[in-house]
Amino acid sequence: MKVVAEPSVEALAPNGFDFCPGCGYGSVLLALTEVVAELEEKPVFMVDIGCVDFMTAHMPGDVLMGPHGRTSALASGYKRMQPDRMVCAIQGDGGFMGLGAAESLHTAVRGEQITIIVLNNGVLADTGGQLAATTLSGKATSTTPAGRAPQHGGPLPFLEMLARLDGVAYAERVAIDSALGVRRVRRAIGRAFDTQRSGAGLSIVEVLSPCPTHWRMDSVQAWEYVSTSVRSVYPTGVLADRKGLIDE
Amino acid sequence: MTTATTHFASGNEAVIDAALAAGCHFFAGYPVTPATEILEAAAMKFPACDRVMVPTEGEIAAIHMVAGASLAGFRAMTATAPLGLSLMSEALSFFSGMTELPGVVVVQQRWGPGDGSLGPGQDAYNQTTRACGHGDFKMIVLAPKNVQELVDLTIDAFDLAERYRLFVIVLGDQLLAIASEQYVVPDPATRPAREVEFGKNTGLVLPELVAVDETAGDFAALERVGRRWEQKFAAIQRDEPRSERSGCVGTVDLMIVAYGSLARIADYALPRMAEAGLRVGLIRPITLWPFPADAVRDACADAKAVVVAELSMGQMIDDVTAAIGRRPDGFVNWLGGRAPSTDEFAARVVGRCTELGVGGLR
Repeated sequence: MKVVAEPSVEALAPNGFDFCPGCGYGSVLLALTEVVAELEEKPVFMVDIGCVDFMTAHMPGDVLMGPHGRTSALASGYKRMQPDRMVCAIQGDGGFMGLGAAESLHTAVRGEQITIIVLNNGVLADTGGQLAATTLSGKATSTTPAGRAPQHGGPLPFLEMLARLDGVAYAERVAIDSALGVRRVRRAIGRAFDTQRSGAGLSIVEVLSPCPTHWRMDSVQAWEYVSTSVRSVYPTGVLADRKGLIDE
Repeated sequence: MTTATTHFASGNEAVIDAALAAGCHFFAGYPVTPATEILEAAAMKFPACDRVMVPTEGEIAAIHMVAGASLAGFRAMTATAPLGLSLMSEALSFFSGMTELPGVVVVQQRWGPGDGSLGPGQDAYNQTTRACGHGDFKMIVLAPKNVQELVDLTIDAFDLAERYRLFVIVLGDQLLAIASEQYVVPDPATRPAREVEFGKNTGLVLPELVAVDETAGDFAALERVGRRWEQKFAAIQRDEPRSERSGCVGTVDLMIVAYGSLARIADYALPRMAEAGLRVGLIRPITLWPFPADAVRDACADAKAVVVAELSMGQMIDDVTAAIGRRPDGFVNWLGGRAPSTDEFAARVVGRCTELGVGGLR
């Protein structure tokens, strides 16, 4: 095998990363960093609490970590007063679809001119792998040790719900389960920023991300689980494109 | 040159005139009695003055949007009642305590836990001065007695918030909210965004505690942040206590301690109590935090008896106790969302003095 690049962790993160082995969040961080590197105007970032807050110190721009779940409202307030700035909220599925669902929903209703990147790993990972709104049916978590059962409800199709709203100008779901998937994360984030720049409304990218630690799998199994089980419940693709950015 | 205009309107409407005068450029809020007209006045006047007003889906979104606008460098505010403030408390801990963003929250008190009543109360004293959100932090709490002071303190609140980098609570009540009075307020002033580091693309990480924590759990560095906050709050306690005296000075039979609308009622009741033969003074804390402990102690030093009056089961009385070094001699209060008339106030206090044998009353 030919070595084409030696990534320098020291350069990117002098104190190292806090991500578990096999976590998809580092790939999203890399994709985001690459997209931002090509932007003339750097976004500001608002990061939620959860495993996403391990990204805080490594963001490619100025960043504020706020309370759990309400990051979209925080980012909206900033954007309202700095309409020429690019504003990007980074949230996990727990904050975006669970605790902060009301704020997420009404950010979409108002069509706030921000970009939200949602990292969906199907569990409340930061606290040790508890049931989330996105946990697949039957999946065992530390608060559903026998698996997610009917009394816990089923996985929430939040992006499908939001994509129906006029305020959502762009919505795409992508997955970290292959090299191609990682490239699509990059492409989707770029489209979301294009949408924000156009002033068309809210842009959301949901990234299905493997969590080997709390899924009790190795990294390869976790990618396969995303490819098969997760994507069968959460299909990837473009759910809203009101600017017609994509002509295919 | 700033010009001022005389208005006649309710306290709630006056809050927005004050906000415009202070150069507040952002308002977000959710309706709740008795603060709703503040939101509605903002909806009328903010867009007309080329400012941003967002009616949100709830208090939680409102306080987060205020924080975002503040992060962007602009003066920003919301208004609510104590039950809405409960919902905002987590955000205030993050943004006032941890992130040190400036902001203003006007809180019009109605009495009671839960949904409570719709009438005036003073039971958000502990909520605002002690524990408005988790963790080690304080917010400045200003308690006006009438609409003019509500205007003046709202303007002051924006200055204090920026000076000390925290949220300031203007704590009114239902009487102040709905009372229509004459007030003078400077005309609306625009104010450029203050210089903020966030957004200059220097790789800034906020809050500072997170930036410190990310460099490998350096507890000594974390404590240095805590010590800096401790010093900030100590400076506020040293420099910012405000209070007002009225009634008799020197040796008095009775010193009343009351704040807000009830202090105004007490002030009007002073002549009635004088008719009963009592020499009565009134000390009114204007800042509830920092509590004007020195002024209260001095005022009560030469009083034969000290009586605290509140529209609660007794919350400020703990601060008075700490200030004077003993439990006050009497406590009079009204519950249920009801404030007394001046006659009722005077009669209750004179009755208490009779029980205590103060001023020759038996």
